Amino acid sequence: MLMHVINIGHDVLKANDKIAEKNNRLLEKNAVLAVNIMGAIGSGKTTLIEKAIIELGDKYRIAVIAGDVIADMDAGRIAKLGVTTIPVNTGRECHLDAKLVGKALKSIDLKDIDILLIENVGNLICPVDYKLGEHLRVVVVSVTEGDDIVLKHPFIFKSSDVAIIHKKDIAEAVFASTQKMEHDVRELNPNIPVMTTSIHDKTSMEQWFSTISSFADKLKQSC
Amino acid sequence: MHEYALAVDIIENVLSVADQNQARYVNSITLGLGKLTHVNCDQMQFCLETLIIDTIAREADLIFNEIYPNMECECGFSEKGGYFCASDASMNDIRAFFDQSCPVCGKVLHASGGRDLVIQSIDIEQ
Ligand SMILES: Nc1nc2c(ncn2[C@@H]2O[C@H](COP(=O)(O)OP(=O)(O)O)[C@@H](O)[C@H]2O)c(=O)[nH]1
Ligand SMILES: [Mg+2]
Ligand SMILES: [Zn+2]
Repeated sequence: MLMHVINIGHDVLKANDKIAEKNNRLLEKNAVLAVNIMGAIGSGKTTLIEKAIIELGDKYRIAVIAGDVIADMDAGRIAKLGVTTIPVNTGRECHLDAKLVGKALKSIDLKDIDILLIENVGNLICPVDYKLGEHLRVVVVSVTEGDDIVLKHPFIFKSSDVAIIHKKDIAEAVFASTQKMEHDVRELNPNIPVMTTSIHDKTSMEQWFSTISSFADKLKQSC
Repeated sequence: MHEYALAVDIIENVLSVADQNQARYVNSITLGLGKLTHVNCDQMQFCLETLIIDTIAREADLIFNEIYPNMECECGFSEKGGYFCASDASMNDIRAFFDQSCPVCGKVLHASGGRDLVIQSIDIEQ
């Protein structure tokens, strides 16, 4: 009987990063901007995606990966707007991973797409550990989650490129201070843009649209 | 959390390496677990224990090594994260690693590394 130790050194989290890099290369080859939209269930992810499609759909060719746990419902909402929508069923998983996104990318004609919007699973913790190959990580929190929600989830704000504090129209009704929330984000990550938005405030929605379009234009130029 | 999916990846990898090395049994599995991942050690242990039943790793000891981030400052200060934990029990909360100030100049320290979940080694019987 022979016993011995085998060194392995395989990192299962980094294995995801490798697949994410592969996704990223595929997206860049086709000059597709990928946006990973993260936030709790009900924070407004699907709504922000719908509004972006309505506003930007004439100028950009958009596709959506709908990864929320009950993906079929959201996918149905988005597909109504006439864009390619791939529902990804994560089963009971709490996040999208690069492998699932890679599989979804196979069923999209990337040559014909400028912007890929990815709705992640409603969760502020697990998506942090998983890169998907995206160019832009957007975290959405709404005032209804309580104005201490930012400090409760520091990591997602540290690992995001854009923060959205959504539903400011009802902040007062739920005793939330959007100033406090903005301040908390800036403390955690002074380098990222923070937007305070509401679907009832046109100016704030335009900030969201122009964030996406400016990144899409930049990517097109560099590819 | 995603312990179950990660545990499946780990066991698949362990069994395939064991198989390539004509193992009859796996006696132990040693994992490195970064302090800054969101992986819960107890849940991971439970998932692994469930997954090894009915495999050649069923008797394996599961060994966890904690991997600390390096705490670094602009001023040049750098120290393994474990140094701070010795003096502060609350450092088990990962948030604490982002809330430490530099003992030299007082600025907030930057935590680098510690995001690993690595199968370090296995001990097999051929
Ligand atoms: N008051 C208010 N409600 C909003 C706003 N944006 C979205 N909602 C509502 O919030 C609820 C959840 O939105 P949804 O987009 O499905 O959230 P998701 O689970 O993150 O995709 C829906 O009832 C939306 O109509 C907003 O700016 N203000
Ligand atoms: Mg949704
Ligand atoms: Zn210092």
